[in-house]
Amino acid sequence: MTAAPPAYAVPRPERFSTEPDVIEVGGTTLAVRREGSGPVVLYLHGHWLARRWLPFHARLAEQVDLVAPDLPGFGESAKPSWLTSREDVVLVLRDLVEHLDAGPVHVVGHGLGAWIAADLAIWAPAQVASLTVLAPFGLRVPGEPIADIFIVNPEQYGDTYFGAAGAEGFEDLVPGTGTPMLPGGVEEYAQRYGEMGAAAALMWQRRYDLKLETRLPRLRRPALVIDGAEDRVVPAAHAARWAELTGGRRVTVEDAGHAVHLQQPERTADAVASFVQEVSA
Amino acid sequence: MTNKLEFYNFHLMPYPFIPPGEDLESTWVTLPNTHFEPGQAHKLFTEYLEQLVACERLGYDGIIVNEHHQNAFGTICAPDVWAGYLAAKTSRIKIGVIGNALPLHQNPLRIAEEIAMLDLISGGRIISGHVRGMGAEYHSSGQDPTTSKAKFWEAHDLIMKAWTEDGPFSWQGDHYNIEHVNIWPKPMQQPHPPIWMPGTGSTDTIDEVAKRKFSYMQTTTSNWITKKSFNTFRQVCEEKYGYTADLRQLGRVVPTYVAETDAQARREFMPHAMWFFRTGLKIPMHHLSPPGYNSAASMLGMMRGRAAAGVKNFWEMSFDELIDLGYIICGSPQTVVDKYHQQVEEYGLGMAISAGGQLGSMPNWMVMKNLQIMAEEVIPHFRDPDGKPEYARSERTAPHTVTELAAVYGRPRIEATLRLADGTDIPTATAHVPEVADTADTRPVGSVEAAGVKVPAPAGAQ
Repeated sequence: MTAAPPAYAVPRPERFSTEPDVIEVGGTTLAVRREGSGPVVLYLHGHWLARRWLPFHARLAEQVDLVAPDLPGFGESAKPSWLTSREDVVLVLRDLVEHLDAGPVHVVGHGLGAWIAADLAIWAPAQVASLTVLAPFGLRVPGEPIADIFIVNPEQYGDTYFGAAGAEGFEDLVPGTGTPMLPGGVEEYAQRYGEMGAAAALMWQRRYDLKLETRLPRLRRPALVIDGAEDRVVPAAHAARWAELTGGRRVTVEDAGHAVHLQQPERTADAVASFVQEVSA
Repeated sequence: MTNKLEFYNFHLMPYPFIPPGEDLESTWVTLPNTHFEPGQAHKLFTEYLEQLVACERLGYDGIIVNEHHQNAFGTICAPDVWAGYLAAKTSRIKIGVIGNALPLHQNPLRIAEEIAMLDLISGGRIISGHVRGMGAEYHSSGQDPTTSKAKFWEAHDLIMKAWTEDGPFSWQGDHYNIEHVNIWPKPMQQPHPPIWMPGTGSTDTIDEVAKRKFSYMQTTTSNWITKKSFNTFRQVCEEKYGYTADLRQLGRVVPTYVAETDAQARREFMPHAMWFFRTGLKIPMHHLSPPGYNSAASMLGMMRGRAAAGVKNFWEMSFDELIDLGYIICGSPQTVVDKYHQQVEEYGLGMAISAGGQLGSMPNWMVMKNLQIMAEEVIPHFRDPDGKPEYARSERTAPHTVTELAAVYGRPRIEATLRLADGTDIPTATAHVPEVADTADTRPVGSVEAAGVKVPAPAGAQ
């Protein structure tokens, strides 16, 4: 009598949940949301906020053709057993860009997603027209470590992720495993735990990649760095270093913390869109 | 003859001199080590070691240490070091390292070597526990919780193979690649020391332990969960693996305190047991379960299971609840005897772990009192009429005296040998006699000097 693996259904979040297209690229099942027209923008979520079409997405999709997959292991996107690293995610994303058949795309990512976006640009330069990183993970800046996102006390989420403004109005957009008492109950709790695990598999062992220091300067792609002025997860020195290494412009959004795209969706989306339009003109 | 129940003293080596749990986020990971005073620790640790050593003369079956890191609940970060001390201070009692946290160490062979070494110096008295390490320890070690389960089983398989198969061989696993596995030493007990694995009742763990015919140790849980786990274990052994579980495959950690009367026992145990559950075990979920340590599906199953069974966090229970639900045993000798009898008969308990001894902030005198009354008035009820621990009815794996060792093992298969310049081999054990030593030509065999060739001095040499 072996216990069969318990049946597990990915729950749908209460807010900002839309039906994804479930497609198969290179043998991997991906849940993808897409809307808008114009230059194709591939947006990669970070360790949280998969499964959703946020006001940020909606605003961006008014100006570009926005493609937002759930990364493997997040939401309804499968995690193949061979996928154990960021490089493996890059392989899946290369297949996705090929599947889109729209030539090089503008890659945008937040946090861990920004790091993966940079990896994609490094390893598949022909598929990438430009790189935009929002509050990016990935660098080691001496004396300025990125917060350990895997151990934040749920009581500290507000301060840590949203800065002075706090998390009011964002209680369901939990930036960690949280507790079962939060909206969505144990089902959302387990789902968040699983997605944090998917993120951990990509970055627990080494929260930075020293190779970015030599690889980013060789990108030779237009780059944009966006950060929230009150980011307490990624210290400001990181955005500055990304701008230096990529030769890109830096836009710091006021009245926003690490959750810059939640707190200032219009300003953040507009900064991305105008950059994309500028470089694709 | 078989004793009804084995008794083990399991020491966690707590450091209790910290603020109350209510004032702490956690007793793990982030509790500042500014609370740690080396002078206090020296006194504590010395007493703790004496408590374990005393168990041999008291007649316990075994003494146990374990591995935890960066917390005040259990400070044995290097259990093999403790076991080495205990091996030197005792001669017959079994010593359990329950266990080494396999995935927390870079090279599993280090554990295979240390356990083998302990088994040798202790004369074959080691029980090797293999554990994954608490989730909190992945926060404290930088090791990856998302691969820890797979690494645990691979490390375990590698250790077992290193102990039981001849080296050298190469190991090409998913997580460890060691081209030359060839450990010196091998363990005293053949084919290997007994293996224990702890669990909280997860069916997966029970199945893996039952499959390998190892011993399963239920960690601190309620009577209800323990009974359910033991039933599952026996059922899996019987129905899936075709054998009847041995009594010694089922152990349970159930902290026990015995005193003159029920009332006295409760009075004495209460503050220290409460420290253990309220402060020592104050581990919030964001410390206890790092992402990836479990799957989303198993986390959901666990949360639902706990909710359905009404399981509370350790620090949320009162002293009465802890006793009533069976997390701890506390009372007069008769009460304690009755409770153990019930567990032997109803649950099939074969090994009582933490059966007496230190818990939480308990002072030395109280620990010694607990152990003494256990030995005099509780343990004999579960022994054959001779009162002996099981090990005392047979010889130690390695005999204790040189004469016995010489009689049993004789000379080694190969003598240590010195080869002389002319190619003859002489045993070093007797080579010091004047006939050999005084005329021995110790130049290397085949060297130019030995062959009588004169080597010219290098040019320019004086």
